[in-house]
Amino acid sequence: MNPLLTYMLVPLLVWAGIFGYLFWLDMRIRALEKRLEEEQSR
Amino acid sequence: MKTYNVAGKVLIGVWIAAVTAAAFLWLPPAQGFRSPETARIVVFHVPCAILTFVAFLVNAFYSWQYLRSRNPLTDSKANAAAELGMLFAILATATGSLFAMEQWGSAWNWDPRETSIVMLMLVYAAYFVLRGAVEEKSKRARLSAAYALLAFPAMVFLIWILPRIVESLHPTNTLFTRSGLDPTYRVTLWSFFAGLTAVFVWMFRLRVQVEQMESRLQQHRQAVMEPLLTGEQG
Repeated sequence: MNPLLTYMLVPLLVWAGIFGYLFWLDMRIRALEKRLEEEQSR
Repeated sequence: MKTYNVAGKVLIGVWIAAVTAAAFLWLPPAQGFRSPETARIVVFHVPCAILTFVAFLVNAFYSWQYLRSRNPLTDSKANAAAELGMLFAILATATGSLFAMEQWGSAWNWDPRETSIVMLMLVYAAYFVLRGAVEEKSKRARLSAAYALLAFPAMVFLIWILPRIVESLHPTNTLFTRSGLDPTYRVTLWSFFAGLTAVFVWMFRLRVQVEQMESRLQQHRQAVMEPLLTGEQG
């Protein structure tokens, strides 16, 4: 692989891992908030 | 308070973006590497590897705290730390493989450090399997805390001892000695580590929040179900 491409891939990978996980956590928090609201209003 | 939170998150993003840009624009290609340009990978790979250790250390600390106090919050924190440890272990392995491909000609060389991180991931994968296998909350917390405390010495051995007693492609003691790294590399590496640590704290707090919300939901359901069940019995 082209060395330039390789070292551009690395920070991209780290950023993708971090933001992917943050996004997943955010989605879970939103879903849980919605479920809690629904359960409490029942 | 919310403004400070948002400002903090923006600052973390800007900091990491600036360090990433510095790694490309400011760092010179490093001599002594097969591919001097790709030496910059070290700046991203090493902080991920250090944070893997930090996360599992935090996991062991909160597991010990749980066994002492039986506070469910400490169990949530231990679980959050283990999950983050796994995330950073995966990132360290992936970035390391790309570096190995350029530096040593193959993405995987069964180097002691490569082997030990795979073993480490298996040890902590078993931690998640254990947590998933036990339904009762306090029993799950107790068992996983005990397992985490048993996994901790294995983790120290795999990260700090094994790669030093067996011949390895990875250099040792380069981070804490003056002759180990070029000053520009050292500054960039530790700056990225600082940014990544801030992200770690942010993710840790969010993960604990998820656990707390899940248990609140469970408590609410139990509170609703209990009168119905006792009503049926009566």
